Amino acid sequence: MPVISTERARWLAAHVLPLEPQLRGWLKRVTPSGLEVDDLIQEAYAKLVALATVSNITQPKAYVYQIVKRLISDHIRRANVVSIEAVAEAAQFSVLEEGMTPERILSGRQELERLYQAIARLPGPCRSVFVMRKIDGKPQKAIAAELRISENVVEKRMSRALRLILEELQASEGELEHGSSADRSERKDRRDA
Amino acid sequence: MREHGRTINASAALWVVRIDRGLTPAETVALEQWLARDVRHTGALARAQAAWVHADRAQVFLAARELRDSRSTRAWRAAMPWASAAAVLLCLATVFWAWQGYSQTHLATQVGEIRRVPLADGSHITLDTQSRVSVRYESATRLVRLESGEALFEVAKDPGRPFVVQAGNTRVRAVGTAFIVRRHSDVDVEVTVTEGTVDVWRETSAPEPAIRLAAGNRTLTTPLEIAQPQELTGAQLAGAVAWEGGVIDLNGRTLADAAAEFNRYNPQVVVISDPRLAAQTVVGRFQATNPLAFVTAAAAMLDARVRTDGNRLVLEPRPRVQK
Repeated sequence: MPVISTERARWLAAHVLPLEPQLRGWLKRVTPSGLEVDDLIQEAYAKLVALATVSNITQPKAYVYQIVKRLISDHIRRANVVSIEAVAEAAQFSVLEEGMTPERILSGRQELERLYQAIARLPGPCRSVFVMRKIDGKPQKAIAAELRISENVVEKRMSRALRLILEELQASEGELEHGSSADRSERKDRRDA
Repeated sequence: MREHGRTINASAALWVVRIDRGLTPAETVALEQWLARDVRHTGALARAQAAWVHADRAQVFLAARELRDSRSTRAWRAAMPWASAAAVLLCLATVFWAWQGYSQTHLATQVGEIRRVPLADGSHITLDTQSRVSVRYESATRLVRLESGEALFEVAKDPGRPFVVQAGNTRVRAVGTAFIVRRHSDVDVEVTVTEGTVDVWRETSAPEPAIRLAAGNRTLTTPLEIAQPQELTGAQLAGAVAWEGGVIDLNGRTLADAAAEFNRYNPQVVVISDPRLAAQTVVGRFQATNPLAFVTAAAAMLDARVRTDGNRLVLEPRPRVQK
């Protein structure tokens, strides 16, 4: 794959993609108004692509959180108006609390289950082309011929499938799975008070 | 107005699919322009590519009928030899478990096959490549014999009926937990716990106390002893369970080691004859059934080259250029 090496894409898939639900959950709470969670996530991926190498990153999770924190403070520095509360909360977040635990590791299987669910929930036409490409390993051209549809239609269905799968994978259902739920509820209590 | 994140994600997904089918020269230019326009475009593209690569793991669902709708029956038929074998096995398994009482079920995987099988009590066994187990559920115990290979056991809680895995004379007992047992040879057995705790002991002539193994720990039983439990780092634990997703995680292992690992999964054999090359360590995650991707990456990393020799993939040092 040009543009972004397969190696890097694989690294992102292994270390960053699974973090997204949790990362998004956290970002939803701390992102100052005027900034979008989607933007920060995309910018973080851009930073990770720009790195010459990722082989020296031993703690990807802590690293990703660090990048996002830095992005937020960069935005804050550039903007004039910012909610003080948001800054305080962003500063409070410690990457140390996000340690690697066995529960986190086990999610290898959960990730596979998630992927299965994401594919299963695709609308029929999208699912067909996606399954033929990713499970059966057929080229898009062959899929078009087999289903007697144009390559353009295959492309549209395939990209819709990919977009829907990404949305499914990023959904925050996993938010409670790992990470510091105690800390989270404490923070919530504080805000409610 | 600023472009919305969702719009960017949709464009990124389309680009990934186009890259997959091959870009025309005009599209290559258009993609470059699109990427140059906004840093978020690069990020979104990377993210979509990551998901695209991640979806390759779906290959393990080859036999999952639900994923194929009626309109793609031809695709389904293509997968038949595989899927039908799995289906027959699962049917057999179900029939056997319907009897449950004293019957015994055999489950086995072929080279390169990884399968997760549900048991009647809600437990699951995931068999790694070329592995064989027999399952016997009795009223007081749940007995599983690992005859060869490696398996992950996810045990449903049932305090009245302990779950015991036999591997040679090694025994592992769990109540409700998840652990991996791997037979390295006829006698050496490795136990890795990913959740909860288990007891490990050996059936020997002289009674021997069991050792308790907690989540994140590993031990090796040999004819001599049960090794002192070793606490695994997060990365090591990730490596130990990676096979479950059809992935080999080479976390600083030597090439020789890595080759042996790939050879467990594939009829195509990776050979590294040069001892200096074989001792090099590598890092990376690879599809277990794609040894070519591994040797190609290793060759690029270590300035070596790949030679195909019949059924063998030979990784060897690049010959010196004579001056």
